[in-house]
Amino acid sequence: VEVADEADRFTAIYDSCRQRVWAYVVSKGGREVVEEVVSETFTVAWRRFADLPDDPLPWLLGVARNILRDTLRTQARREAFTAEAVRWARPEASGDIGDQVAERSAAIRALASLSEQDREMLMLVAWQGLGAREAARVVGCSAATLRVRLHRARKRFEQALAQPDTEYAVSGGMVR
Amino acid sequence: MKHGLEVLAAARPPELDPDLPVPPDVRHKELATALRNAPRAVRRARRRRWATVLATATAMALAAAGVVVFLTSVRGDGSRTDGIQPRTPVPLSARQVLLTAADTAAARRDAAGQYFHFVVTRRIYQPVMSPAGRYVVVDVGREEGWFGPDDRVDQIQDLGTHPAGPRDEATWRAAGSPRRFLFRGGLWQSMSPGPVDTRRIGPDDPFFGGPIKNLAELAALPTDLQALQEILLKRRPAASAAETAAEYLFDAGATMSLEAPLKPQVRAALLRMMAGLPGIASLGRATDSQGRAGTAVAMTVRTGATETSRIRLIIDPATGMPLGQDLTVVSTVDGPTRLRAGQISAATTLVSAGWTSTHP
Repeated sequence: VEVADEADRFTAIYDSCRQRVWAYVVSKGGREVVEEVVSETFTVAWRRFADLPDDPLPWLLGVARNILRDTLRTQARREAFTAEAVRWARPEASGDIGDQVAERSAAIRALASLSEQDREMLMLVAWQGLGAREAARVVGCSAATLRVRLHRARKRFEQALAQPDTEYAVSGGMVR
Repeated sequence: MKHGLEVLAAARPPELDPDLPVPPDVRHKELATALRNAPRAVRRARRRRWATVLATATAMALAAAGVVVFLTSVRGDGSRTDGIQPRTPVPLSARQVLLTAADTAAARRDAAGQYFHFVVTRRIYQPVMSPAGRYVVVDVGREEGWFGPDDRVDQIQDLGTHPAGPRDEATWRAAGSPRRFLFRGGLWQSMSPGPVDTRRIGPDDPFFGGPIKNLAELAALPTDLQALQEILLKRRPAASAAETAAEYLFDAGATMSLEAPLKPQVRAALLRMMAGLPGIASLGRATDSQGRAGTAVAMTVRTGATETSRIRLIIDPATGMPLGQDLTVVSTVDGPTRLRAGQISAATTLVSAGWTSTHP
């Protein structure tokens, strides 16, 4: 009976978090690995169900992050993100019109010019809607540290946005 | 210019919408895969509960200590009194301070021990808009780490967000004493301390701490000044074109010399590198946020298109070891969501550092 209850609770967690985990993984590692990593994340989550905190999302994203890191090397993740960025910036991918297309395209281009660490924090906050503490738990730092990094990342993003000729540059691993 | 997080939030690709339904066949397959085996029987609820109680007690003690430290460093008019004492004669140039510190640091022999243990507190200051007016809040975080030969254990805890000073607290009360703060771009923070988060970091796992990516890289850092500078410059992010190379190197050097478990010779090389940078200033005697006396060097750097800030590194002259660093706004444009000139925006304090043979 207990396992059945737990399975129900697990399913509820799956239903509330799965798309967020998918979005996080696809924006970090691309669609070639996303199904595998998401599936593995929830397999780990069920195996370690007793460890699952009350707010499971940051924990799940942290697990997905580790699995992804073991699955894809840094260079491969960078290439995967660039491929996704090119896809997202295409007008037909969004169904948007006119200015919206241009704005999204510019924002994604700017995002692609940043380091993986900068990108990750910006995406966790702006796209996943996580709070500082939750985002910090995903990347493994304190909320105060996250705020410093996020502030810097945002400045770099705004700077890249202000330079319309920003290339899909491969930037180094500056993690401050 | 629009706030970057707002621009980015509006640009989220539609397929990343978390409210999109999971395709039924995918849902069925993923749940069936996950639930194939029984969950591990080990239950840690009891232990966790105890850990939470202890963590909360520690957090409250630390948060209280943090507030006291901060209150004593702020005058009634809100200006900060800690740090620079401009009337004190400045005996050494910034270059001399750093070179002397480098010599002292290089002469240190690290005690034997398997793990380098350190405790750091971080404070971040942010303005909040409320119907009662604008006030500044500070996030306080505590990080404790054990660096081993090939791994690192971190224990991280957020001690919560609080009004920064007495005036800020008065405005916060007038605004109804909210327990949560929402910042522009949708980021929110809570007043209550969070749990202690323990994690293990392997040699190739990325971690934060200056431009060095992982433990393997850290261990391989050269003691030669030129070689070290070249490695740091290679790590300079492409998007940081606004800050000069000297600004970047000072920033990276300050962070690494403060927070990374470096060999004495590497730390000395970093300090020597900083001593050779143009634009460094000596601020004379200063005390850190723990009240410890030291000597401060600083550089003003560009921190945004319309903003410059001063990075200050406080060094203990007796050991050559950095005690802390902070960032203060020097010039900025006025805006409701911006800190003003003269306000501190971030501070990192090395509470303790040393070698030990145990870790959690």
